[in-house]
Amino acid sequence: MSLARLAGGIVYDPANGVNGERRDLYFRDGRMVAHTGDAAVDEEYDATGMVVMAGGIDLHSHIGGGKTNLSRLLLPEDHRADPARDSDSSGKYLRLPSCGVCTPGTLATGYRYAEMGYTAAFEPAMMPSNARHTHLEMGDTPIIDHGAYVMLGNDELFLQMLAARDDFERLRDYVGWTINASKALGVKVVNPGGISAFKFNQRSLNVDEAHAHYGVTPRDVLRTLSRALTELRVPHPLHVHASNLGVPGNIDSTIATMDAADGLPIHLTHIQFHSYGTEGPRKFSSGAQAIAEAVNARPNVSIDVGQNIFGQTVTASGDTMMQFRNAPMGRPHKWIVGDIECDAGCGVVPFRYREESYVNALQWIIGLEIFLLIDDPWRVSMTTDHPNGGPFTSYPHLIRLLMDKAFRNEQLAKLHPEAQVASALPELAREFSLYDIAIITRAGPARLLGLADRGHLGAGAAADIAVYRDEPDRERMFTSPAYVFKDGRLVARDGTLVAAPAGGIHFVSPDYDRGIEKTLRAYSDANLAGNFAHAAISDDEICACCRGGRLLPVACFPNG
Amino acid sequence: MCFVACEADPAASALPNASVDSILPQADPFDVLAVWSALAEGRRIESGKHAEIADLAQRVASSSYTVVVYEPAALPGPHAALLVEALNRIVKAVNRTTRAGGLALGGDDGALTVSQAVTWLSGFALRTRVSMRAPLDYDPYRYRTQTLLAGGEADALLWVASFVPQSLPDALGADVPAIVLGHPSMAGMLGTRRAPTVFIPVATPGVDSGGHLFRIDATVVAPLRAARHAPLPGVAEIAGRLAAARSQP
Repeated sequence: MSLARLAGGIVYDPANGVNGERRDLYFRDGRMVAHTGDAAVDEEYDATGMVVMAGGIDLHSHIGGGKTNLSRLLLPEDHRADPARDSDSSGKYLRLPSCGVCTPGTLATGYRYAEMGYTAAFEPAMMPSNARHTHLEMGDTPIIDHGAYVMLGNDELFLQMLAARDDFERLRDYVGWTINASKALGVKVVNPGGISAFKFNQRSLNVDEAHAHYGVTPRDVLRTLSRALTELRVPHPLHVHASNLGVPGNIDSTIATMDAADGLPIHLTHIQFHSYGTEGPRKFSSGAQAIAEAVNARPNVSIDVGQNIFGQTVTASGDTMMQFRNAPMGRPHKWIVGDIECDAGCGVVPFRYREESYVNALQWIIGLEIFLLIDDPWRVSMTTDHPNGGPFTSYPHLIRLLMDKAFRNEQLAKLHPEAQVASALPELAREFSLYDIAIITRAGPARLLGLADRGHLGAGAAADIAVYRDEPDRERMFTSPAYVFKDGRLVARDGTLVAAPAGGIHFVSPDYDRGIEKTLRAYSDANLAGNFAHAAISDDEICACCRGGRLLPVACFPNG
Repeated sequence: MCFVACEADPAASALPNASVDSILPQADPFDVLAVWSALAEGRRIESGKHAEIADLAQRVASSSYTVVVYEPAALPGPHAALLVEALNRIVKAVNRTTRAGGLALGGDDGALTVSQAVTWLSGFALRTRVSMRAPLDYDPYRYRTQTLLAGGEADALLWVASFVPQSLPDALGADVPAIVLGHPSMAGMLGTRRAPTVFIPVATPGVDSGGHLFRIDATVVAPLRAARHAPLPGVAEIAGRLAAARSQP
């Protein structure tokens, strides 16, 4: 019941139009409250001259589920490379042993997000069959809130129904049922139809190309899913990992993917990997200009970037078709690709992005060009597609690249010389302001996910707050915030944890016609090993998976 | 369905729509996989030699999808891991032209679940040294239970066998204390040990207590519900009580 005041900070709260104003903020019982003149303040935090934002929100980060755990198994050397941190001498076991650089253990993941001022992260690729596993991992990720997008569009039932020209309403109800059963916040499609096509030995699948077995096209899948989510009134648009990931010349299919939504909301994720042209002597060029123009011209499209960061990482994706194709380029040379029966797939390939590599250098350039060329920051979320482009711990570095043109030039000068020449980056003078950063790292993602009480600091919002010392070196500034509050509780101070509460889970529960369950039960009985009676995760069960973390239901858009 | 380097399982012929055969039932699996690997990589072998394996490789290459099923625990030791490696290499090679996958059957009695949970929590797989004062240390050779016990490196053994009764490892020295969280029927199995031995009967997951368990394909987690309510604590409850007692001032 105690009232806390965060005094003297410079507040950046774009959702409420607050741009660098000096304000005192008040919170009580985990919520921001309006200033009450005579109420006694019980706790006082001095933020004089510091930069205050809502807690960071990462809307696309592979933090839980089968492929994340396979990544850990595959790369013990990555975990050995993790520098030892101060052991906890308080005897309270606040920080349990957990390690890793590109795919940290769940405990380390929660600790490091919180230490950086992030208070939520979302797993973008939860397979329905792997949903419990994903939730168990996220539940073991302390402090931060979490949620997941469930993967559809490569599962046999969806493709069968689409191929049979089943009524759209039945497909929509299947989507609604799956979101509910898996406790998801949204729906993702990965290489629409392509993961399934790879099971039938197709090695590529373009937007208007037919699936060898079902005859349907990625465009059919995209159109159906985006329409289903619109009718189910799910706030987060269809989350799309487009066709042809990593293929030179994929800009055409990326733009075709945007248009497959027929003007309905659509989110193209890690678009950097889908923005490649074929110009120049190496037949690999930046398509950032074309992609940015396409996004600028289509207000229904939002994106996250999937910036790559130089160094060792591991790529973990449902896109088996492309992961198998790229496996020979993996370093170190070991990889895992698996088909998941009736559902989707998973592919894990380690990568080392090198400044001396023309392709890697150009990927880095393309990511930054996209950030700088898209006009509306509300439609751009900052991601590295953790860990695929680089680990989330690179975010402070990425923020500095966006905010500091001189620093960007310095980094550019280290790259493969031909890539530097092939780049428009030197001409892009834009520097992100703190206000812009607050949009692409918290206010924008919260809005895109429908989280009404997150990503801002207005009265009634959750008191998830990050307070940074205003340092000219933005990388340093965003690495170790002076204070991080989660639901009003101080969890980190100057980059050191002081509390590790359980995070909550965000999910949506759209309305749908439960008549579809008859079809699903028959399909399950005929094709799956599990018992359909246990297919859906209940509120009680999800609560247990999340170690008692709070259930944070997200409202669907109102009808009418 | 083709059994390779073993007899066909009689149960297989009871499956609907399955033709069952077996090749080289008496052969050494190492030899068979070496030849199959070479063929999968496009190497030539002397004509007339290894005809059965050449047929098998051809059959796989012309199929649209082959699943290689194996049971790691049933493979001949002590270097069964080499066979698993060979199978994975073959499957990867086959996938260059057609589709194939491997399916390992193992990880029963909760082993797979423990492996998954330890990996996601810590970042390392099993056989990891956990200490609050030193970094985690993953070393599958050094921290093998058998090795630690045989080398006399263990001060005590904590033996968890909640699914089925499992006797203490042979390598356990008579003077090493043991704490057993075990299936109730283990009470009579422990015999008389010289060293201090504590036995706590525990609930059987999925019978006496709820929880979650990975299915052997490592993808699907099954929710467990108690079918009866034996008045026994689960392993998690005991661990929780110990942790709570430990963190009291």
